Amino acid sequence: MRFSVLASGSTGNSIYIENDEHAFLVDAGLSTRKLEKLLGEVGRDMKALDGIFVTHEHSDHIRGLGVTARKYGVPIYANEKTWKAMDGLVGNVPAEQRFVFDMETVKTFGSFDVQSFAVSHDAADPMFYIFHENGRKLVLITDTGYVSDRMKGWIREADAYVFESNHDVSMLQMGRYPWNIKRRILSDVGHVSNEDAAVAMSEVVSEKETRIYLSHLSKDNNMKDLARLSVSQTLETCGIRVGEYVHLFDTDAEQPTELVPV
Amino acid sequence: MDWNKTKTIFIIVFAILNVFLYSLYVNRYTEVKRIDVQGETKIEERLKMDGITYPKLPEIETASFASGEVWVFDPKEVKDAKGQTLRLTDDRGTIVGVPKEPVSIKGEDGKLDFGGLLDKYVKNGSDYKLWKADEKKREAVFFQTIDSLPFYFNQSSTLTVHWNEALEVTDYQQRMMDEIVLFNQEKDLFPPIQAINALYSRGYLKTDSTITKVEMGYSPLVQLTKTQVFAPTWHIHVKLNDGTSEDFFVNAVDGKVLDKLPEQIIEEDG
Ligand SMILES: [Zn+2]
Ligand SMILES: [Zn+2]
Repeated sequence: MRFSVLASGSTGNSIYIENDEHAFLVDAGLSTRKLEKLLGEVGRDMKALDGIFVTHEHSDHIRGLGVTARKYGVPIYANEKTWKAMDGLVGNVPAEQRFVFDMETVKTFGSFDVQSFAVSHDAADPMFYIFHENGRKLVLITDTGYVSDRMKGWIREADAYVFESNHDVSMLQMGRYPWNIKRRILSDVGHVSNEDAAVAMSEVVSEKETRIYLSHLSKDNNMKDLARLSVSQTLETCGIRVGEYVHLFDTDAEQPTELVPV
Repeated sequence: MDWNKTKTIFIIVFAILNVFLYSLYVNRYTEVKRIDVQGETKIEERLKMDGITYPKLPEIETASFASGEVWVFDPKEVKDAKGQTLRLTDDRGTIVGVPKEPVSIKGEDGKLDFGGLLDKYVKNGSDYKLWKADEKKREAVFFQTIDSLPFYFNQSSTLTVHWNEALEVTDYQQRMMDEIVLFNQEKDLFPPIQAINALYSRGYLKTDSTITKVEMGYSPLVQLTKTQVFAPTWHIHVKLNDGTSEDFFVNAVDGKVLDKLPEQIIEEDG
């Protein structure tokens, strides 16, 4: 399988995953026009999409969902509570395009197994996805206040991770966000910090080549260089030598990452 | 009752009421507008009214965050030192140097000149910029720089020099940062006039004071396990009427006025 993080951050999220037979998006948090452009930049077309998996109903994950669904007739997958929460947010999605993807289940699309798992986030019933194909494993996990042992169980020993590294704690504390927003971000149902993400990573990676994409970076309370420094130094204190078998990659709010095989 | 008369009276009463309400509204509206206009009085003008002057402001619009690692001095370097005796602290983070021959800091016109010391004795001496020389205490503090921008009050990159009555260096203490890199992402800066405004609107600038310097540098932001991260920072130096002066620091990315930098407090306590 191959994947590209089309866009990542609080301005909009979408990840593209494909193999030789199927093509999917996880979330459509940007306008349809932007999604078309981003997908075009990795040489792919919206018309080829076989489905969109929705993680939760926050606008940075579903902004372009309704229009994309109607324009391209793509099947949309989300769990029951998320469907209910999206009501009125995405406009009309035709009944034949609405599919329910239950929490902690697996759906099979040809050689793809797509697995859903719960995260801790202030949405109706937030869940993320793991893609399996031919023994290879791609884990997507952002929008979670922390990484629980249960989550660690699901995401262990993947070949690639799209991992949230949302904020730097001290930058957030010093920054000019109002207190209630700071509290939300730092809470168990907000977002995971650079250090906490790194500690979780250190507990789930195995000693094989692993690509980790640092994602959903806060625009005001983080920076790519800071996230990379912070994650790599924390990983190193946890005994993982970055650059040997664990490799860190940036994602961007406006530019897709290279479409690479897992 | 004459219904027609009643109707006319009603119409007249309502007409008067309408005129009254309208005039009330117009008054309010212009009042609100006037307040707005007052609020918009340019910062430049408000400073002028309070007798606060400032020099030509730097025209830097973007800058990067920076990071650096604490340098650990090599004991071999200490042993091989020439012309001075060097001593290392236990963590090897601070070097203390004592010149063997007198090194004078006497400059022209009674000014202090540290050039000789920095050139010949201090490791990477040219990277250090004088912050303050206290002639009574006979102590000068220098900050390490990157691209000639100083790291303000960063404990792991300051140099302190002491001298005797004859203006000869008695000793110096040096800490240094290494692997200094600028982050790739350039950030748009909070303009210097806005930084001045931030101080002004919080009441930090007293009337009739003179801003003599507005400079860019870095202040400590985040401490990672190995690396320290620094934010672009405006340093604003203000001379007061009574001859004293004050230094302020404003984060140049988010415009936040920095409370006293940690080392500044330590210095004052010590
Ligand atoms: Zn969210
Ligand atoms: Zn999100």
